Amino acid sequence: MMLQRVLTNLFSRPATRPFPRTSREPAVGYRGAVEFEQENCVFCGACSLRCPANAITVDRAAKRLTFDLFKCIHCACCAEACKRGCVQLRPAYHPPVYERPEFAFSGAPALPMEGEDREDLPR
Amino acid sequence: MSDRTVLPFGPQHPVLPEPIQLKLTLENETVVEAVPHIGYVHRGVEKAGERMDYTQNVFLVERICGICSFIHALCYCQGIERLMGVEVPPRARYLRVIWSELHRMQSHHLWLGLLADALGFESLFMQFWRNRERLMDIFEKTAGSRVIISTCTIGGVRRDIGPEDQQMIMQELEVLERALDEALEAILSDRTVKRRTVGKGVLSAEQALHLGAVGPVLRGSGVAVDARTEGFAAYADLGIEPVVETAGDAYARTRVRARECYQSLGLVRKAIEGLPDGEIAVRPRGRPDGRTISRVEQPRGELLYFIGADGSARLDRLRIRTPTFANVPALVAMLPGCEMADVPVITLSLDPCISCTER
Amino acid sequence: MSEAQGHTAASPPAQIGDVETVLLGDLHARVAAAREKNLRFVTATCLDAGENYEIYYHFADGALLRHLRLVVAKGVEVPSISGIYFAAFLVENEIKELFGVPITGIAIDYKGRLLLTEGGPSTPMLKTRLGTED
Repeated sequence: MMLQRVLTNLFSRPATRPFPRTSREPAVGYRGAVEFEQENCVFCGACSLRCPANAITVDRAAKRLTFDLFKCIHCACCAEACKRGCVQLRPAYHPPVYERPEFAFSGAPALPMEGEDREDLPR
Repeated sequence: MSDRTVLPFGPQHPVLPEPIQLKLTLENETVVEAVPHIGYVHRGVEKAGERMDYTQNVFLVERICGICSFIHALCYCQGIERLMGVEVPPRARYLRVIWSELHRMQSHHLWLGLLADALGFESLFMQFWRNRERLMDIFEKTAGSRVIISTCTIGGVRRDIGPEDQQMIMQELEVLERALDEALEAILSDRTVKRRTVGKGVLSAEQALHLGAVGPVLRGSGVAVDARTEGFAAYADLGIEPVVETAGDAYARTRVRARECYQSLGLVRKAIEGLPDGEIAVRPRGRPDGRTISRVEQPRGELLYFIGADGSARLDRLRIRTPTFANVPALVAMLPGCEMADVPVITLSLDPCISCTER
Repeated sequence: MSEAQGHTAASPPAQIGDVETVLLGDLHARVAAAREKNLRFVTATCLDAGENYEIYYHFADGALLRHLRLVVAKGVEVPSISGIYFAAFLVENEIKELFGVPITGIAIDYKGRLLLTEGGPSTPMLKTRLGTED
């Protein structure tokens, strides 16, 4: 049995990939990079309330969203909480960085979606 | 007058997956007394559990341990569900079993690899971990993450396993079973492995029970206690028999874990074949109120959660008793009388998870 | 516990049902009785109840759980049960350290250094400690 294993190992490919020459794509459902669809965001703060790691801060008055990537635990609670589907977790890895990335965006709220009736949105 | 030395074993030691220090009092080469010291990875999870929203706590408890993560979440969710009177749909219960048993297999593979490594059998260690990678890939494809899978939620599960994924799992299990046969043959029938594990760290059934041991430590000594026999999640439908060995030594514990790998394989297959249709989660209403105890079986033994809630968004008390916490006193009793060179193997045969112990 | 054995309902059967409240003076006797019946010591849980501590001792009787509940005023000494159940030494040290319960006579006493460090927070599990300082 030992001999069989020796022969198998001798004549088969290595079990490891020659990274970085080849890379491995994450699976389709992998909870990876967090992306915000900025045009659609109304800064309601639902994602911020649900985040277990307090990685998202939303200033409703100033209409500003800040996301701390280092705190994020990639649980996808924000994606579930957002009623407008603004938050997605793409199957992609974040590369390592030298400095703490600061991600924030602000802006005017988007136009209301069909069936949505909100007083604070411009008509 | 004999030579007594106090030798610190740990907290850094190649054989230990997490830091624990054992102050060994040695008389020549024989251990006379062992005093454990922990506290290197205490994170205050029980306190944090009182500060976060009870729904966010699921993510907190998952991260107590990376090897048995899903089962922590399962225990917590079950406790909260009982307090809120939530009935989890059948499909979710089966899915929880599937992920739990895959977790158990992944944990036992990790441990078997560590045992091989501790004995110096490095190539077998790599084989076990290579096989474990297949399980991690299953997690990534079905749950979205390899280690902390975050699929358990209050009221059910967050993701479904569709027909293609089910087929994928069955195929992977076929390959895994053959690989397991080969690797276990290597570790269980090897003469050197037997010399280093048979008769080491013996715990009689009575001692094991009195010292509060749980899991493979208890079952390896002949006591048939397995929290899964209580029928939580879908275990009542699937049926479970505790895997028991009688010798009570490190080799017996190894055999228990090896046989549990096959048992888990069989359970996953049975669960997939009998997976009922329906929804994967119900939306819980209200807030938890009252006190309850939730018990599940982790790869290392019985896990117990005492949850106290008072109707607000935050819990009053989250008490977590992990299996290794219960097994440490058994270690203290197991070590006196053994040789110093056997201490690493005996400690490892408990499958210590110190991050669980300290929380 | 009759509805709890081996059924297919969704919730797990282990209840906090069988709780016996004991007085401090009876604790030793009740724990010794549990030992007589060969119950497995599972763990102990401490709760901060304002003026008092509420301590549960959990035992396993086969598949069932039985609990002893002790309510003591803060500052009152509690005798250790590690003389009867050696396994209790670890959790009693933890309760002593994290809650400040004065437990006396523990088989191996870490004197407050099991989990917490010198210069770190003391009795962090009390409700009055917010956990945000230090």
